Amino acid sequence: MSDSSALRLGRPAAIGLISIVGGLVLWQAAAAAFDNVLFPSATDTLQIFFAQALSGELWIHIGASLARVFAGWAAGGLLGVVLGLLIASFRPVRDFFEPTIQFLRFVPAIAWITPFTIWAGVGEVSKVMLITYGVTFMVMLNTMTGVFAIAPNKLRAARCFGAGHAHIFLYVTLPATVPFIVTGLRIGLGNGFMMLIAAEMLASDEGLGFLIFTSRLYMATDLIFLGILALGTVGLICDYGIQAVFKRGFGRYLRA
Amino acid sequence: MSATGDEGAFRPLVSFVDVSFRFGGRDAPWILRSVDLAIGRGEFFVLIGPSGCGKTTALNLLAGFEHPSAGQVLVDGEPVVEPGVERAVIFQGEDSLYPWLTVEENVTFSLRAAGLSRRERHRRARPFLQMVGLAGHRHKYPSELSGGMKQRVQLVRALVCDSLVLLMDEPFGALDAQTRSVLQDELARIWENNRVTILFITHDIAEAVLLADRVGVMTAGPESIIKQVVPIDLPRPRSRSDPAFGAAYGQLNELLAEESRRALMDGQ
Ligand SMILES: Nc1ncnc2c1ncn2[C@@H]1O[C@H](COP(=O)(O)OP(=O)(O)OP(=O)(O)O)[C@@H](O)[C@H]1O
Ligand SMILES: [Mg+2]
Repeated sequence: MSDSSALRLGRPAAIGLISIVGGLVLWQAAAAAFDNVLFPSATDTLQIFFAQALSGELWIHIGASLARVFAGWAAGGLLGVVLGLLIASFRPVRDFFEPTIQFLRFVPAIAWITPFTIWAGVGEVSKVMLITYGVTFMVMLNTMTGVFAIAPNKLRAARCFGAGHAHIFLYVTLPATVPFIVTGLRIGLGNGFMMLIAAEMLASDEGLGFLIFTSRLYMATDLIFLGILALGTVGLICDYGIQAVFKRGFGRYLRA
Repeated sequence: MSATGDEGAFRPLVSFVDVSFRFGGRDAPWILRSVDLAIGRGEFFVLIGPSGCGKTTALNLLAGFEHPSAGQVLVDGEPVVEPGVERAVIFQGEDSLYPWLTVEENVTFSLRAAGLSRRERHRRARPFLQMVGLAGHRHKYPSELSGGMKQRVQLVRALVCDSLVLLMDEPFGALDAQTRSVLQDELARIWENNRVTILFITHDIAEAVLLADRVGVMTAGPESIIKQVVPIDLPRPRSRSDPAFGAAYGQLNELLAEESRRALMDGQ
């Protein structure tokens, strides 16, 4: 790596680090103004983090949550991409699904929590289903937007240069839509976490949602903060992970 | 066929026969109304006309992207039914290139669609890439190219098809004067070698005089037609400093200015 490229990488990372450190300092200062039971400080939270990390408790919660979110996100991502491509590419399919999609857009995934639990029980299945639903929708809408955003000249060029429907779909529509799919997957992951916490709060005996919710009953605000911190950190790492994987594996499709 | 020209034995490769076009149904205005045009095999035909008069529309009809509301567009005696590689298009603007493909992959898109092997595609593309100085850039992506290079990619993408006609829609319109002039010379040189039939749209009268065998001047829309076809009988390679060049320029300029004035008046 040359000096200049190290600088290019180093600078944004350094600025990002400043924001994290700054946030922690601000947190510590703000917490000092309140009762520690109501608003635990950064150091309090760090303390409980070490205790929970060492006992292994924290990793059980994180592991349970991650497994659920990943299962739902992967299923929802796949489903969302396939549905989005099909609905946006084929006029009759689009016309058929359009009203349903517009209807469902106004029913937040959380509204489905009770029926899903009644249908699939309080176990893992209903949680993963709920996450899948939230992710599918977000990925599908973004994928559709991507298909609609393809410059008409790209499609005309493909027809002019002898590509049939299947060739256009595989080698123009799909690659042109990748940046939108990535955006959908990233926003979808956020939706997945939202569904995850909602589902875990309602019924579960492990997971970060469970940790946050049960700690409320004991006024263990430091544990709540730990749960929130873990949630944000895990989410952030996953997001960077998605970006890195796509940049490596599909970098050429992310070019302007 | 009023625009056919003089000689009786003239058998056009491309012809518009009484072509009318409008977007949509009965109430929509006519964009083109009874257009007649004949382009000979190996001819470099340039179309000029006021902005919005329907030049791109005429090109789209020939490309097969749109269909005449009335009349016929024929290539080699056969009506155009759909887009195809024998009528390769160089598009107005750069958004027809695929940003996820390298230069070489972009220019061989048609060969890949036709099922040619990677090696064969490479072999066919190489001389054309060399011809326009892109050989050293073949692994680059469009985002890494200048505007002039992107238009060269479009040109090569069309040339590798070995088409009957090239359809060029203001291919150099967005380039700076220097780059444009270089590309005009490159195109003239390529055409003098392969003599492929070209329909070329431009706003630039000097460009028309530099390149054309004949120039068709369209009327301002709506209901545009090709009001006059002006032959440019200058020896090639042409020079802008030639007095005859100036004369041809003046004639076209007058014809076009008349139409643009009319367009402005109608617009008010
Ligand atoms: N999809 C469309 N629907 C309706 N009208 C259209 C459409 N596309 C173009 N037009 C109209 O058709 C007319 C001709 O457009 P066209 O693009 O062929 O003009 P042009 O001569 O190529 O113009 P320019 O020199 O600016 O490129 C214009 O008046 C334009 O407003
Ligand atoms: Mg145009």
